Amino acid sequence: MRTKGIIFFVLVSGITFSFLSCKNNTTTDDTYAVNVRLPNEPENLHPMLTKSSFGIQIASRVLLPAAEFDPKTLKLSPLLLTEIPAAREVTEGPHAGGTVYQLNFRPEAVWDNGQPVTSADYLFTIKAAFNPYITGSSWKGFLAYVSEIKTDPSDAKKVEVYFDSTYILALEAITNINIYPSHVYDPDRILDEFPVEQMISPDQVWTPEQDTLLKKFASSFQSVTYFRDTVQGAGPYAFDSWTTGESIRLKRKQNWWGDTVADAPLLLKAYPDEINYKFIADAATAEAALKSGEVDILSEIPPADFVKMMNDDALKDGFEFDTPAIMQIFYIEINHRDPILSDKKIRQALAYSIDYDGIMNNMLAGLGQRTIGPIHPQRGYYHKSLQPLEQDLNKSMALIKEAGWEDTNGNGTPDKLLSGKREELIVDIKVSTKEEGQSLAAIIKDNAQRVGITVNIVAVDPSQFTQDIRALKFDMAPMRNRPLASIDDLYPAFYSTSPANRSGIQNAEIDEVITDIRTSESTAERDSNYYKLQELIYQEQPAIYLYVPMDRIIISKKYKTITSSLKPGYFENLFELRA
Amino acid sequence: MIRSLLRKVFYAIVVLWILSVIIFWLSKQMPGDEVLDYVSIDDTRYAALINPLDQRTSYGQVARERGFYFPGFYFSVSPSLFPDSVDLILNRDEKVNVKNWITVYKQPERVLGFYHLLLQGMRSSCSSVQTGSPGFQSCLFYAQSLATHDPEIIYTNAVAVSGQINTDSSVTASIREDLSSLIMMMEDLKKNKPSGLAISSWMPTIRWHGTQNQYHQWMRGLLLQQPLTSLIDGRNAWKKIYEALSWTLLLNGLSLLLALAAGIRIGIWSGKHHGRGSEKSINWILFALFAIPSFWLATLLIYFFASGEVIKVFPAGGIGDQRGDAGIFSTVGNLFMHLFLPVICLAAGALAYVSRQMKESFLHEAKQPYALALKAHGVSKKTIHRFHVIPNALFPIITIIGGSVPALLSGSLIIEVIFNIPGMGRLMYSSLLARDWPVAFPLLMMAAFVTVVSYILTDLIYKWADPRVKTVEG
Repeated sequence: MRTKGIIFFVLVSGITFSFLSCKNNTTTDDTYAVNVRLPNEPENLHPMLTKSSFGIQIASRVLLPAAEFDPKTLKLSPLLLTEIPAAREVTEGPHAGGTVYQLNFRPEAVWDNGQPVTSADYLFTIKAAFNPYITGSSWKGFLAYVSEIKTDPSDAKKVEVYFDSTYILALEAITNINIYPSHVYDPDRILDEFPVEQMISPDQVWTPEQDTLLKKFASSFQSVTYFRDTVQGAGPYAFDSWTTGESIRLKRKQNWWGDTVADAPLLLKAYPDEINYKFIADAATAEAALKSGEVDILSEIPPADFVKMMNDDALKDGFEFDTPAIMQIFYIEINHRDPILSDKKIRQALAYSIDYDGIMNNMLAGLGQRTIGPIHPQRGYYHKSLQPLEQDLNKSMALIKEAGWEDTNGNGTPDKLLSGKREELIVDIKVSTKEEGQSLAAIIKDNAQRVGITVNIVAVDPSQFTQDIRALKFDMAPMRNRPLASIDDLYPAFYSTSPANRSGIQNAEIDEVITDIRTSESTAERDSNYYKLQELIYQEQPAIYLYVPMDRIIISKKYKTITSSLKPGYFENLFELRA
Repeated sequence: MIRSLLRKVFYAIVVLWILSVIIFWLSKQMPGDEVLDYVSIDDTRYAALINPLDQRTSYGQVARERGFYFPGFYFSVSPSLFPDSVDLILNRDEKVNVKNWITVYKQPERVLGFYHLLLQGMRSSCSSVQTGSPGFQSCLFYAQSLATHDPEIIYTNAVAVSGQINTDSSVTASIREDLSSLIMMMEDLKKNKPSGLAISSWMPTIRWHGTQNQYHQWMRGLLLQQPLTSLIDGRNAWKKIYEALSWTLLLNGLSLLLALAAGIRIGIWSGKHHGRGSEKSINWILFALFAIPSFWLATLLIYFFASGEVIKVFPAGGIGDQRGDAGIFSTVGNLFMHLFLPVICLAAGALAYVSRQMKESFLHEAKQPYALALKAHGVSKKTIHRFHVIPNALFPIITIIGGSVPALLSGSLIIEVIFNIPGMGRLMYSSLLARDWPVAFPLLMMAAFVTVVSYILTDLIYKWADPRVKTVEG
């Protein structure tokens, strides 16, 4: 009897406390919060240093970039700048023959303390990125081509950035970076002592005193204080709280300067008063949280689950299902240094052996789009007249024969003399132990077997996989390319002498067209060169191009918003409560 | 008793030390290079723009920050063919490659000279060129050579690059000369390659490194509770562990209490009503709960009680708003609602086990001569059970509690993931996956320490509670 009493007391008091503590998390009369589910917790909210896309997503609501890709047009849109700068040719001085961009910061743009966003903050951001003791950041590489940055003593809102050599991503490099408030991230004003020309110079040698100061700055800049305690910027939201393992909360600034901007770009708009990012790793728990109204947006849902949820009556009424094509291209990287795969015919034979429909239906539940090469189908210059390859086993077998491979020893696998040694038609496909790559490899192995090519699956730890790809220790490997929203620079992956040319493709014609694209003077000329390049890649088949996936996003119908090809596919600051 | 205790403590220290060495050794066997993972930019858009010399400098900085410039352990054993300095190469891949070059050319000191020539070539050709510029080719060659296992490939590439840069006016004479010296050296290495090596070259040599080694530094940090910093988010590792531990203790502690309270009660009831229909039915239900995998039960509980599909009583997961400004009602209510389902889920499995143990123990004690004698003396059944049978039947529960203590601290990964609770299981899993050793090592050692200590304590309590054990053990 006594036990029953205790149980009853605990339950009743627990529920009572819960009701007493209950407060509406989402909406009051005139304010509302948007709850976003994230599958992982970011390691920090430091845009220059985070390796998590969620970290950048959240931090970019607080620390605005100078310019960001517009979700609708996919073109750069000025956020802290008054306009997107146009490239101007430099005709005289040390940068003659080069290009200059003039950046003007918005007069309305201010930090939390009311101070204006100025060229000094821009310089501080660049200098921080070039500090030799800031490790693990990609920004320095992205900005490597900058030759000089000039400020105007008479106009604190103006900056000129010079490039001596042609750099196709110049505009993105200098504008699509989050701007840090120098007074917050460098309270001791250490970097003020370092001229920007010294910081960006690759030949700069530092005195021991300077070296000590740079180390001191880097140690503070990369500390936990700026990782998760002090996160400040000129964005519409202020960092409010971070409950480890649970959530991050942003609150809309009271006097958000973006409200005063006439014809403000889409990304300067900020509707919700609060954004809660909730970390829910388990897919089933996330689905339950969506159904119960604890979260308003779910993305990155496995394709099969998404299709199932689309047919779920409990979700149909209250939620919208969106599938924008993501700016990602999935393909099989082929190592041309391998004597077997250096033969174009064998690469083509492999490409014709693959059951693309099977991949699209079984792995993606139909939520994907076939593609012909490294250019995303959403691009205006995507070559629509080239058709994606289809499975053709007879053609594949004919190509193997044409390449001189025949089963001479009767073991069922074609063979050929290569450099005086009889080789069997056997190649490896390296995959990480993640599920997606393994499923794809299994399909390819099974398909290739049908035309006589033996494909061995080599599954390694994800870290080892990355290291092997870097060290070029692979025959084939499933990969994902994430092109920039605005333009494609195929130099890194396809130019013969590029350090990032992992496939090892050496093709003078492709090199020439890539150079032409980089130096094209008009959009029409550049697009024509892109077409030419796609044709060459289509013929050469340096890799097997599979598909672009569609994002799987579910959003509560309480909100009016937009989705986009840009990651993460939704924009939580644009969630407007429906009337 | 004291001698027995001292012996146990001594064994425990030895076991913990062996465990620490095994954990450390396993961490060094993990595939991949954690420093390279951290400093590398694998996105091809940026990778092409990174100067290999910058990346090498960053690698050195990060490796030093992480203490990798020390040898791994107090001593190392390797063939005498490899000079001491090979073990001091920071880059994991380079170390393996240099060892292979030595094995191929069989001239250790000269191969080391060749390695230093590659480093020097990289410094001079990468330091003043812009990425992507024509002169960048030789820079790239040196960077790729250092990552190449087969020296023949390096030679072939060197000859090819030399031919190309000879016609490139942007390449300085010193860079050309460096490359020519390298080619000459490789030809010389090939020409003077001995046909074989003396067996003594392959004999293992033991090298003593003293206390300046990674394991020693790590143990020192652990034992002295020095501030350890997480490699992932820069937070204090002890603070991260403390936060996770508090959630796990709360979750597992409540579930253990619930399982014990309910399990003992059900076990006694089952013992008293052994063989009846109602007892059999409850047994079946408990076995069903025991048999259901915890992840499935968790998903079912969420579906029925949290998703709103059937009824919406509890939140779907998480720990709720934990800001300090919430009142006591709010905090307790919040915790109750967020922990109710996971506690039930964890307790469900243990409930069957505890009740079964208690029932068997109760039945066993009830048949003992002392109980029968009391019954013969006319003592009421209720008194016999309450004051004699039940206290004696509780002994096996001591073992259950002792065995549960390690789990109390190490967490329940699956439940923590499904219910989104930031406890020790999730922290352990994510730290190991991310190779966050300053967090993972203390966690693993803590789990080992608590397991060992709890077994010693269980033994001691058993001896204290049951004099028969004391008699046998002396």
